[in-house]
Amino acid sequence: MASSGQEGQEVEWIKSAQGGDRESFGLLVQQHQRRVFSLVFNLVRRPTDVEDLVQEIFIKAYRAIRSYNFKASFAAWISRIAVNHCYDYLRRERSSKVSYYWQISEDAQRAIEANAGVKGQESLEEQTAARELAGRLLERAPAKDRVVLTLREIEGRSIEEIAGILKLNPSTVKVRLHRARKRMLEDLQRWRKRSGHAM
Amino acid sequence: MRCDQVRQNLEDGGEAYPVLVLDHLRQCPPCASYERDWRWVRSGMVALAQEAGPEPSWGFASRVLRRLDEVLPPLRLMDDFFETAGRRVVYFTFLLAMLLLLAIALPSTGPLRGHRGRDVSWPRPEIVATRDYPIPPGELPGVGLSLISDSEVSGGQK
Repeated sequence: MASSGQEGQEVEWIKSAQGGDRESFGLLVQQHQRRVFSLVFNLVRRPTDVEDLVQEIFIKAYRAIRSYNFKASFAAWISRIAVNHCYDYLRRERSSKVSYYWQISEDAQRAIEANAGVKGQESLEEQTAARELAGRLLERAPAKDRVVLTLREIEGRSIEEIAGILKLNPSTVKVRLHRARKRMLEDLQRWRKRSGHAM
Repeated sequence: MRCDQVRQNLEDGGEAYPVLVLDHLRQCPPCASYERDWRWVRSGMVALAQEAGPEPSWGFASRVLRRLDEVLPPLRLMDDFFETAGRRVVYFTFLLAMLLLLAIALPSTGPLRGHRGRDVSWPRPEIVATRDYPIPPGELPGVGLSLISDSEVSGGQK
């Protein structure tokens, strides 16, 4: 009951915002800001840039709000805008900056070496190293791969949800995910070869 | 099971793999290596997911609205209508006045009004030979020639 009432209220805010009422749009911002912050942070991993990006996303959303047709949820609609905006940002950033594997700390490198042949529970140090490695791999991945991997592996969204956000077929999302994972692991292999870490 | 099927299975599944996959992993070192790497990277991603990102600071929504005012000034429908309509009336009046001025300023004759008398061209008579060449040497040039118009020539040929 409470959730349907909340949804009804949200629909009213959206309609008012579509009519140009900025106060109602402000209420929508309050309602969705946490979710968008989290999504943007997961996608770009730069805490200092997150707030500016989220502001830009909400401004884009306001400009496009008349095109919102209530077919998908407002959360999914705003997520789509956020993902597209972050995708453009990542592409711009990727073309201007290059990161290298040897930026991984020595501790992380040692843990990666140690983990190469071990299966089982990981220590805290290994977890930290794995997190650092995953972060670096994501940073190096093409923007398209990064978006789909983040939505699936970090945000934990379902294939259908991702398909809705990216406006793709679920089967296409699966293929993209598989290719993105494959490319990421190939990248890891290349790093190992380059750094002389035998498996 | 084929290697690509096994790898797809590893990616889609959780920690517990089916027996067929486990059998394949025991026999196939490249897939075993793939599984180890994927497990490692996935655990890193799980750790990334637990990392807390920045929270929206207090007054974030108000800041968005302020920025919205800067980027897109609020639209006042009536003001906007009168401004647009008024601007159009001014432009139209100006155009009309210019046309009127142009009509008054232009002389009744001139390059844009009427034709100049000397520009009228009349068909000029042509000098044509009524005899076939060669002219006999005894006849002076011009003796057997006459002034006729084009219409006479065409009539004569019929």
